[in-house]
Amino acid sequence: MNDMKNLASDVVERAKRAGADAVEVYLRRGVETEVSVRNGAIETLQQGQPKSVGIRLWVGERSASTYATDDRPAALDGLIRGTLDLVKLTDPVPELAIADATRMAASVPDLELFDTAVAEVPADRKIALARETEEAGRAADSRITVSGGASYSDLALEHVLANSHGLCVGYRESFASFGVSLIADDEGGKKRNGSWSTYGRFASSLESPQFVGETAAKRAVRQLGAGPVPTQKLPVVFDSLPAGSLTGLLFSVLTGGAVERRSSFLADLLGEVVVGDNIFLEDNPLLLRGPGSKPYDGEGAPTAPTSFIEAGRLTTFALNSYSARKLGMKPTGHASRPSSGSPGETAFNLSLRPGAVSQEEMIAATPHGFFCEGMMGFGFNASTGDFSRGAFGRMIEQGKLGAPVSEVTISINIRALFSTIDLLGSDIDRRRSVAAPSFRIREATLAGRG
Amino acid sequence: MTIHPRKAADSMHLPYFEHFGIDADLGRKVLSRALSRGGDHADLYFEHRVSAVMVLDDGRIQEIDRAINLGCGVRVLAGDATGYAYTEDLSSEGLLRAAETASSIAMGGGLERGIELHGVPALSLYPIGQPTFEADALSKLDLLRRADAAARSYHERVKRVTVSLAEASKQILIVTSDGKFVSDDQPMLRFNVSVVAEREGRRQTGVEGGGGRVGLEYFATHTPEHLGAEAARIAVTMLDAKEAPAGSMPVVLGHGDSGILLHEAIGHGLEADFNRKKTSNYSDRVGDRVASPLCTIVDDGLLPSSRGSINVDDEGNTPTRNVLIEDGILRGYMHDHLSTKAFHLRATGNGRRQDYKHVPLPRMTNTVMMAGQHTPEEIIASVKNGIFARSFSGGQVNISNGDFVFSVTEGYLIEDGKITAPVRDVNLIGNGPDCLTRVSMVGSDFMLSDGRWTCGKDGQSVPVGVGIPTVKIDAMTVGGSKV
Repeated sequence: MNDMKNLASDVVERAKRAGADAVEVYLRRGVETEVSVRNGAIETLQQGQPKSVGIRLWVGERSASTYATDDRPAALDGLIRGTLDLVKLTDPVPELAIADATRMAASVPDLELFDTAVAEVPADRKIALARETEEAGRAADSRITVSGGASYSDLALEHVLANSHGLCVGYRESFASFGVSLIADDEGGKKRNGSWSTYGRFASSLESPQFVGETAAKRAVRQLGAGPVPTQKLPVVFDSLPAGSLTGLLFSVLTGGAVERRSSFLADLLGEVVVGDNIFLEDNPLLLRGPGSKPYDGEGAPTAPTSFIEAGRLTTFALNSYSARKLGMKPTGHASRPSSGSPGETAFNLSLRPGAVSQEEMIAATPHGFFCEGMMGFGFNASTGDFSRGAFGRMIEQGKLGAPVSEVTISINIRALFSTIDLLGSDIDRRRSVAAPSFRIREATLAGRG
Repeated sequence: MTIHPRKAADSMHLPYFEHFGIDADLGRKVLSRALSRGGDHADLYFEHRVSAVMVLDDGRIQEIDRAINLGCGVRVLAGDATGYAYTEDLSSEGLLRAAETASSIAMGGGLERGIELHGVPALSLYPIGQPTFEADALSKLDLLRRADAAARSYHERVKRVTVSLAEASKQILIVTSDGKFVSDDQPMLRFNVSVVAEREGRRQTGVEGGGGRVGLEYFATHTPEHLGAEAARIAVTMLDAKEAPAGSMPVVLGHGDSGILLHEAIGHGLEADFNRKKTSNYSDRVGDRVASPLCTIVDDGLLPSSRGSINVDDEGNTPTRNVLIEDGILRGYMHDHLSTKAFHLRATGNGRRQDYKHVPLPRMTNTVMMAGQHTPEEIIASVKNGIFARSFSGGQVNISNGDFVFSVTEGYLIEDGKITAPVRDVNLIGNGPDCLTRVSMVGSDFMLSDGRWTCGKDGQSVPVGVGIPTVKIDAMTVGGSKV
């Protein structure tokens, strides 16, 4: 880490000497491994040590940026010179200036994002975990006929961000994950796949191979015999995973980038009630061991818990320096830092506040409806909020899960969707960086047969 | 050990990578180390990719971002197992270390073996008229400004215009233990215009763009003015979009971008890794009827200058014109090295990877359907009530059960044989083999999509092409909201 900090500070100084008025340098180095097995045999062993350097330079109100995988000092001078040449070609964009000096993080809180145990897992143990997961899945149900393979992967990363305001901060983080994909044969030559993975920053936070394998098997066989149902309007219960996808879409339309580009239907609605009064959309970047936690944002500003929607009212957009200046607002510490290019906006640990109802109670309270277990595709228009995606799951009849359903589409405007949630579940899983409980909406269109 | 140039002597002369200290001798040394613990096959994939994107937003040249990726991936195959390591350190020590790591997949004893390298006759599918990186930067910025001006002047309701030009030059060198020593220079251009139109608080976005393995000569036939106006036209037109119908009905797919249907409905299911593992619903079905007799579908890596074309695949094999479905009958899959060995077949040149950090997989190149007999007008006229789909934001498939979706961003109602009102964003869903048996009319107006598509699989993105004539599908589920 100290090597990286020294290098980053050095690049800032070199760029200033070369003529830059402001500089920002982002260094990233890591180690990643992946092992996969199929039918008990090792399929791949992979290893790499990714590293990169990202440099943003300003001369006056013009800027440009460079990304490279070669961070050797000899290469860096060339990068700086090349970037300064690009700066001259851009137009002055005052809103795109480096983040204000007053906003820089004074310290880096320890959010427990790095587990030394992850890096110490021996290769044999990784292979064994993948094998045990696959075996548990295959043994869980006799209808499982094929394994698509099981894998274990991990990643350790070090980040350093430095800039010409004198900022030079860094942190380490780790991730580990394993999972399996299983297939059950269905009638008519169709196959049904189910997969499940566990992941976390700490080795000790992962689920057991037994649980992961059995969950994947359940998810494969639950779709046996699925097909389309007649087109209809009906209540829909979203399982927590698709509920999380929808929650992510709701966040995407309140990012400063979408708002200032006027490509969001929420662009003019700050301060208004935009969805149902049971909706609270929150972000906590400082969650200890949180999957998306970050001690500072992509511009080096401190991160803090934020409430975007409170009781249905849009209280703030997610803003970085650029979008805040464009909109005449204050940044909220939600700058993302892609390896290359300028910052966007991101949530860190986004959550939809849970309710008090269990998923079982929600289904029991639904005389006729659709239980959506998953969605497919990209059908979402941020400008209008229109949402239309493929879906699969099960019918709900008389409060019980009934026939499996596939090859149908759910359509509804997302604003209408979040305005008509009448039951909010208690089953939130905060191990996901976008976490939502299951919920029921009053009505959506299910397009299927006929 | 010696080098035997099989073709012209200059095919072994690769000054580009010699600049980084990489030559045939070093390649052989690293391969020998990779196979030092055993294994059947090893390959090296060197990549130097320089890319840049220029963005004009809200009337200003806002950003220029450049990226330089340089590294090497080392792969060792031992039976069905793969050992893989990559490094950004291209020194002899760095490469040997990566080879050492990759070699750990092989548990048997190593054999000292001589590796003889030979050049591979390389195709030349994308001669560039005017390489973008050699062009004056100001002339490229002018292209952005021209598209911006055209979009703004298209209509008073146009409120925001974003234009980008992305250019890349990807130099690769592949060295394999069965002797291949081959390089390619893979250029890529992608131009994009995004427009937001507004009327009385209602907003719509229109996107248009294209490119391919082309230089600036592309803009002679695809003017920035045309691309800008087209994005604006879509945004303004869609302001009037009505609620789309829901349910099963005839769908007419416009020529060009609708080739995404082939990519999702059948393409992925015919990538041989899924069939080798028997996880695809097309496994063990070669020779079966899987589509209407009107359908002949080809994955063609050889189309000149197309976004999905390659002179050599990322395992050193030459791409082919690979007939997947002939008159509705499944003829074959798309292969990489591993599946070629498993199926005892010849390579089809479909082994592709995102970059040196990733292993190659069977991937599509340009997936197209051959033209048929009908005019597009006849096809539209044959539909009483249905949907005409013109442009799309993307698609997805479940390989196992064949269910696929794609999202229509510009679609219209067909009423009494005529295209009428635009409809709001709508998802189309179908099942691959089922959907393709319902193809009842195929147009004579084949068109290749203007290069804009990127395919994602196993976390790896590669550029692809699609193409199709106007096609009628008798029944497909349209995911509107109006019942």
